[in-house]
Amino acid sequence: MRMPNPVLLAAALLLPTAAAAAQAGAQSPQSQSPAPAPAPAPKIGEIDFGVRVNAISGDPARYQRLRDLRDGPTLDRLRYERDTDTWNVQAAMDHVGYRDQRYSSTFTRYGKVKASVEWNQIPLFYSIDTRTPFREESAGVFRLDDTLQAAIQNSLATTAAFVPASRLFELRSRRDIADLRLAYSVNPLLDLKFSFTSTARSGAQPWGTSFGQTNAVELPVPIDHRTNDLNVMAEWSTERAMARLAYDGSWFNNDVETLIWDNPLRLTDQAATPSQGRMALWPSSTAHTVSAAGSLALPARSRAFGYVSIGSWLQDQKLLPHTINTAIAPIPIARETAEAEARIVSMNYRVTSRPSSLVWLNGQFRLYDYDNRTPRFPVSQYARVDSGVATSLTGGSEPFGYTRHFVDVDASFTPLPFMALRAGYGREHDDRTFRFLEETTEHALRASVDSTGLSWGSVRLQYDHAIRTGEGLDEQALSDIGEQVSLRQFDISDRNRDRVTAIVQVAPFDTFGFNGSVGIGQETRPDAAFGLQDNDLRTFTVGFDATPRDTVLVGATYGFENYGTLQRSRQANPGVQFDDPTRDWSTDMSEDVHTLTASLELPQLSSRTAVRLAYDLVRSNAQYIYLLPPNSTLTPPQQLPSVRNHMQRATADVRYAINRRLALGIGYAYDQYDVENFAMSPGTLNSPVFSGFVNLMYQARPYDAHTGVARLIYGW
Amino acid sequence: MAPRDVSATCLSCHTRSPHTMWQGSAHDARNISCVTCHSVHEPESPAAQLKASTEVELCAICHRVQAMKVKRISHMPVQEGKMQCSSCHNPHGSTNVKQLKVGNWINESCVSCHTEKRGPFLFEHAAGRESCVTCHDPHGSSNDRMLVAKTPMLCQRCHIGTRHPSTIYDNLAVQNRSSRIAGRGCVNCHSQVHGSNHPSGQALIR
Repeated sequence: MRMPNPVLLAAALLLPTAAAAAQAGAQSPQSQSPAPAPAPAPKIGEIDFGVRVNAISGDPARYQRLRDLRDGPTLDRLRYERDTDTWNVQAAMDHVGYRDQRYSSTFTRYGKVKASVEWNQIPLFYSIDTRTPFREESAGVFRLDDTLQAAIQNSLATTAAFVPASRLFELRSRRDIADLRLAYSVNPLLDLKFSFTSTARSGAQPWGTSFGQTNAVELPVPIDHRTNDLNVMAEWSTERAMARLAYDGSWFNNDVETLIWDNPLRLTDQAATPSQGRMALWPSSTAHTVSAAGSLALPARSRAFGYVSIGSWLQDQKLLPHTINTAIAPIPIARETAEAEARIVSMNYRVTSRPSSLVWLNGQFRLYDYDNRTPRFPVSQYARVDSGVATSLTGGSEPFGYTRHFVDVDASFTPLPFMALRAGYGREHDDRTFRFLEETTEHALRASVDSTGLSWGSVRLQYDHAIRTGEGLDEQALSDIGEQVSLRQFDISDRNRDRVTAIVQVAPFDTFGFNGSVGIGQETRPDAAFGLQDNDLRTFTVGFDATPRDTVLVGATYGFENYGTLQRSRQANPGVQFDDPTRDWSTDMSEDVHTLTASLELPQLSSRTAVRLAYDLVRSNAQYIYLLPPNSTLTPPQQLPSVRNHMQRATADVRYAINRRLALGIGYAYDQYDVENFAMSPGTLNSPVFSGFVNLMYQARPYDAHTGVARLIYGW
Repeated sequence: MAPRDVSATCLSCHTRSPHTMWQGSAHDARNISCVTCHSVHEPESPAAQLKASTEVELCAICHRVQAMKVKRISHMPVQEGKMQCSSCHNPHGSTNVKQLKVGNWINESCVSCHTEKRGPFLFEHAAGRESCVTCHDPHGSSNDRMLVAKTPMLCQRCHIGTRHPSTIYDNLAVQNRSSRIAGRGCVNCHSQVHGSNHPSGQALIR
């Protein structure tokens, strides 16, 4: 066993946390370890424990969100590693006892075995003070007070009666992941690999339900499901050739597949107004994939690669009846179970060649076939939100599927050392079923100049131009469902796209480096009279890193992003309105985002003290402006307020080495979030019950948070 | 040595799973070599011998915009240390697009964690089945649920049919707490936007 080096020990104690955490496959959460200074992890054991105190005004759930930052004692990090000439063992613990805790261990016998096990939790904290008048009678069954329902049904009260009956509750969910991996080298050429991951999700999340357009009900829908994923693989490889066989299986099991909830407006069923609603939640499903891959070195510094996989996604859960409303005569269903299946075939073939040091060639073909084999589920009559019987416009389900063919060729020429000029062409042809546009073909040209590997920096420039066109447009299908026939859905519509990106990194001295980037992009949709028209982006970044002295590291990066879209619609009911262009309107969306990151590190402020200061700023401002043509007959809209998301975070981290084994750490973080979101603001969602909308009061609210951490770090 | 000569040296030993598709990958095509990101002799990171202290810092050198999006209010748990760039991407090349590590199409990568949205379902949202990134930006966004735009505006890019989908939802609608714009917007009712397994679920409301 290696003996700890005293100097290394002291350095490790001064600059701990992130690096060692990364060694276990993760980085330390920011607020747990404010602005940790990175350093190579020594091969020693280490424990980091202390106490954390928060002072939060505003929304503590939004502040914590994907972390658990409660006040209290902390065991933020424990590391152990033992290394010999033939084997290595590592163990790690993070945030012990909190909702975002993680435990992991690896064992490696060099050249023979690598095994790892991990337990990891990821919380999602929605709200500390959501409200609902519903009580959960059993998993997925939500009930209201019958007395109030009856009073509202008999016009003796309004839905406002539910306000005082609403209870306060915390809304959160959590992902618990257990992961086991084993790789065994049978001999130097053959590896066998096995992995098993079991992911459980629990808790609740906001969920919308409806009895019709004026009766929406938001619920804390329960989450209780687990996914088990298995992978086994055999891989044989030499320098010249590789062959691989693999199987992947995935089993998703949902313990709450049905949601039932009371209607705030009625206690007893009526054909047009049910007393309760019922919804199918995520169905349990399975997926299986077998794959084979191989590669072979060819003459002239060439290599061929091939990959084929065949997969099957299956879902055959029992179907619910059309409605839970007893006043509606039962509607026959075409079959008892979903019988949903998709067969997925994927192929990937690639040949790369470098016949001379000046020329590099690459050709690739990809196929991805999502063959939806679910039998069409015929529906003539259906229960519309449990509130009556309606006739289906489509006659039933549309088992959507697609096949994508990709061809890519690239050629690169390197006339100068470390400079490559590249030109490429790509073609993507997609066939679809049950969409308005059955085929699309995109031709893409690209050219780039890349200067890499130079001691003073690098320059990269790329230009992309792509044209996508479609065939087989079915305007009648649009008309049949009441859409404007000149609508083009933006993900498959004809599209012209141009994009330029440039990245420059310059390091004229060892002590100073500059970087910058620019991106400009534009998308237009020439034949879309309705739907998304244009989509633009403009970005640039500038930054520097400097080490004016060995004991000072400073860096900053500023970025600006602008995104803009224009989309067009027509506010119309069937009849004369439908073809009336004076009812047209547009939405002009733009978002500006400013991002600033800065840090100052003083790793040797004194012989025993290290300091790191950091600052992050994100300011996003978005606007959705409604536009009417001059001859509009629509009522001029009241424009929506801007959407604002401003965040900043300042951290200070000071470490003092008491001796060569023990260090004291003090950390402070200030976080501020300022938000204006018209849809989720406290001003908008200021009651759990509105006329026609029962909601959880799940709001977007600001916060100010001061977090202090005091810790001891002991290494051995 | 020229970048591709450097890579050829490394690939003489690193011939297995994560590296088998380096040749012809997006990074190889841009004349990037192993030593662009890795330093065998002077690594900054404790794992993978990276030239930056963390993976996100390293990727951000070129992928600035994606790294900035990770800091938005709506994001994956990257800042929290629960994910890294390589949780989704294999920078050495893969069979998927965008060097995604799992599966062979964007959705296969997404549903490897968001399994409940895998289906197949009785009724599906074609745009979602075609690609998750039609509506979501996986690197982060200023909108709830990492949507590329707010609802109902996002939905109205494709749905402008008669009556409520084609209506302007302005500030008056907000003040009236219309369930079509307040809170979750369209998803207040169409919550099964990823697919429904209900026989009456064709409008993705059940």
